[in-house]
Amino acid sequence: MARYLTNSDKVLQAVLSDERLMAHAQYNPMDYETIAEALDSDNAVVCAVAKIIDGKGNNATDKEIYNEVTNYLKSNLI
Amino acid sequence: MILKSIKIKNFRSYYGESIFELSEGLTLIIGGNGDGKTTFFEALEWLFNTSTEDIKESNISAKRKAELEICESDEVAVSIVFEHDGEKELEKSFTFERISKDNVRCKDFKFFGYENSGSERYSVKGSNLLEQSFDAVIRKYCLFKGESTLNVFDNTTALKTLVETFSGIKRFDDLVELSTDFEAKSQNAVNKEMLNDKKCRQKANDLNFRLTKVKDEIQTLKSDIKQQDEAINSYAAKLEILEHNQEASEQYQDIKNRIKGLSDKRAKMRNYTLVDYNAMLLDESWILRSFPKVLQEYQKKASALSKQKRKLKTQEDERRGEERGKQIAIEHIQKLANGAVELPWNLPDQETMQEMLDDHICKVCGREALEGSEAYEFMKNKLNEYLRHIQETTKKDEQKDEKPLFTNSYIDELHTRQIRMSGEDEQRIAGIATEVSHRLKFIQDRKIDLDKIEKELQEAEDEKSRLLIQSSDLTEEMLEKDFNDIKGYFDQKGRAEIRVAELTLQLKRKEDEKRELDEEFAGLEPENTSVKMYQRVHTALREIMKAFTNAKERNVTEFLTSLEKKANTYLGKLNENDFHGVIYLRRTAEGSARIELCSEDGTIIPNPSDSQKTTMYMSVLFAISEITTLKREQDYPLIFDAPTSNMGGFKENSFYNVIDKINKQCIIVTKDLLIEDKTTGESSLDNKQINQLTCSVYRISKAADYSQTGLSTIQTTTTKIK
Amino acid sequence: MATESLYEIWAKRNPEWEIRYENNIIKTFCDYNRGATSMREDRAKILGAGYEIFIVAFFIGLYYNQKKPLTTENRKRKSFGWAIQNWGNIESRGGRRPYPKLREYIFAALVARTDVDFIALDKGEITARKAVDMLMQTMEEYANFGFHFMEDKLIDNPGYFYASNAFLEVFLSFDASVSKSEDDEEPEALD
Repeated sequence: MARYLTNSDKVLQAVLSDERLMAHAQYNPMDYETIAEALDSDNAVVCAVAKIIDGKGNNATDKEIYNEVTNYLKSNLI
Repeated sequence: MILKSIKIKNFRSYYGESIFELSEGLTLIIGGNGDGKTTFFEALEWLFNTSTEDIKESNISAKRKAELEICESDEVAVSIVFEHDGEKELEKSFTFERISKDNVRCKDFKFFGYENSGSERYSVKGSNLLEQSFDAVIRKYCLFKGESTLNVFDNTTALKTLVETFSGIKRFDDLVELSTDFEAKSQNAVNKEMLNDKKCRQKANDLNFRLTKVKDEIQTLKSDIKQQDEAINSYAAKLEILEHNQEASEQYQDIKNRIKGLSDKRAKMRNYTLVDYNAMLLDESWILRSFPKVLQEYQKKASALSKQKRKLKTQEDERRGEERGKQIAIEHIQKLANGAVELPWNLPDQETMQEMLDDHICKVCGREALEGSEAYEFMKNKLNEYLRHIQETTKKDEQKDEKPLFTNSYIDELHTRQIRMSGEDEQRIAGIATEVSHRLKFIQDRKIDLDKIEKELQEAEDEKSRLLIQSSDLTEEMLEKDFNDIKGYFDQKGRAEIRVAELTLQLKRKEDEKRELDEEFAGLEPENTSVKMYQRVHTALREIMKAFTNAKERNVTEFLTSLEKKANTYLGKLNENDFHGVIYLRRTAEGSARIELCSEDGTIIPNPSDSQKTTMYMSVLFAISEITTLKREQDYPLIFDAPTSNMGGFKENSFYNVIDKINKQCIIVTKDLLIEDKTTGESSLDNKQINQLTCSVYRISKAADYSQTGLSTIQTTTTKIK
Repeated sequence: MATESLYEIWAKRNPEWEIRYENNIIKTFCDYNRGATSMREDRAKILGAGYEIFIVAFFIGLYYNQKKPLTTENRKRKSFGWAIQNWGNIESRGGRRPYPKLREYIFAALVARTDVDFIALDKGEITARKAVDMLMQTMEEYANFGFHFMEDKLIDNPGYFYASNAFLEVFLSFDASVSKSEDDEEPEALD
């Protein structure tokens, strides 16, 4: 797909392609090309990664990002 | 972005307008020391400087300034014409006007860009155009002034910047930091929660306590390591300064020794040439140079006198001898009256004669001889003759005791003197003329030598001054410094490095310890679900942190690998057919990188030559430039100031031809390909090599009639060679 | 008693020169009248004792083969108080060395160039003293010409002889060739 990938998208792909993470969180990196797709994901880890990247990209404060991510994880991690 | 031309007007030594038309490959601008190379570069820097409105009187061509009449004005301008999505122009200028004999006013600063759109040409703000077409980040990797700027990894943030700028992905560092931070925070949260769990509280407390301790220790170690690292860096920096200076210092010592040697020689030559000619006239008998003839006169005269004296003496002796002989002869032929032979004079003897006379009788014949008779007279005569003869004989005897002809022997003295003066003395005097002329020639030659030495001394002094100017932050004392300092710094740096290694080891152990504690913590199985959840969150965040970290690492590594590969391709091209080793880009502890030249098996080449270093750096720069082109989908020119001044015996023309063929616009300002005439100090182009070049060549040089002290006479002339 | 040689008689003598040259030449170029000096501070003093400039003047006259008779007025004449036999006996000091042999060559030159009837001298018809007188006259007249020559040069160019090689140049201008005599002399018999 000739889609324009932002830097954030590229970061996401780089992180999600980490094998160890894949093994831990059990997801298929091919499913997630963009941040948007990852944010939509059911996989808590994938989504958390996306939230971190996206939050930074949107210039949210570290505290804000931390709270959001941890709260999210608390709710969604099994 | 392709540069088409550069125009420099009245900027420092560039009097009037100088235009450089650039080729799409390599353009070489050749100039010697002081011809305007660095000024060329600085003109471009001035053009690209967006931080200030820089109107400095010092940038005005002194010659042009001096020419201005009152109320007359001109401008200083630097501009480039380039291709970047169409042809564009960028110009920076200001006007200067003479308001009085000593004062010039600078005004009307302008910094404009010009773009063509369709048939229209309109102007834009210079800084905007610059940012669009040739922004600061790119410029950092395009303009290189001098070899010292070629090492792009010379500072610790360089790699970070490069990766940021050129790798595929940005902002990894922040994210890694963030995720690491999250991991730590969540860990703390877990630990805190754990304290609420009845089951694990005890253990948790204990672990917490130990964890805190370990964390403190880790903190201390980290800060110690940081301190030592800083120390190492400062020593390394000092060493670099000293080593850089050492080269200068060695050169300085070299020159100093040469100056001393020459001064000694000069003193020696001076001694030879400082001759007291007047003393030589007398002490060395040089005054006798024309004496041989006179000496000959003397000798002739002396020997003639001697001959004459002997001749006279001989004559005299002969004469006297003759006289005596005559006398005897006369006697022999004396006769008697009647023809009979007389009796010899001594017969009869005197007594007998007297008796006969007294007795008036001849006692021989018995006849009477009376007084007055013939017989008596005869006897009387005989007696008288006898007496007379006695007289004469006595007289003759007396004469035998008379003075000789010559009573003095001065002539003999002169003669002896003459003989003494022939032989060695005469030879010596005859040789004086030659001796004098040889000596004078010798002195003349030594004077020529002296002149040569004076000249060499002057050259050496000039070299010394030039060295001091080049190493402008060094004074003569610094150059003289004892370089035991280097050893001291080496030792200290070594010790600090050892310490760092020790501390790092300790740190690792502590971190291992912490990890174990963490794992123990993680291994705690709380009953509390809340705690359990915190644990799970933490685990997730930990994994995420690791993933970010690894991804960042991979990014950097990929970037470096690709850069390394490209750099080696360029290295191969630049060093065609020559040994060049392999470039390795190694990560360093501080998160930066190092460029190393190694042989194939990975061992570092310990002391690469300056030219090897330069090609190494340039290869990396070409590689970066290639990546830039890929990223930006735009090409940018590389502009180097004198990067090859260390080439020395390098095959310059092949080097430049290779660069010309690399698909990249390059401008190199250099003093290569100049031949310096040692006697006149003038430089001229090495046309033989230049003819073999495929690129464009410009020559900049100081116009001939300049004064060494008058800035206003300096004018850089620009000549297109090919 | 051993009679004195002609040379010894001559060497006891003291040549005269004209007072007019005392200031402009003799005192100018020598330490004359300053006593024995160990240092020549003044640039002008290019030679040592007064007789040295006399020697130079003498040789100039000799090589030009030109004499100039001295004035007959005694009050206009003077001599160094230093007999010829002492000339050249200087101390090896300050770059100078003694040159005692030079006086013998001067003597030889005088003999060659003076018309003394040596035959008559040896016969005793003229005195040694008279002969030496004539030699001295030659010596003084050559030197007198030399002084005149120097004075002349100085009029044109007062600094002429201050150049370190000025005197040398004068002597370099004379011919220095050594011609082989046409009549080969038979070896001298010593008798």
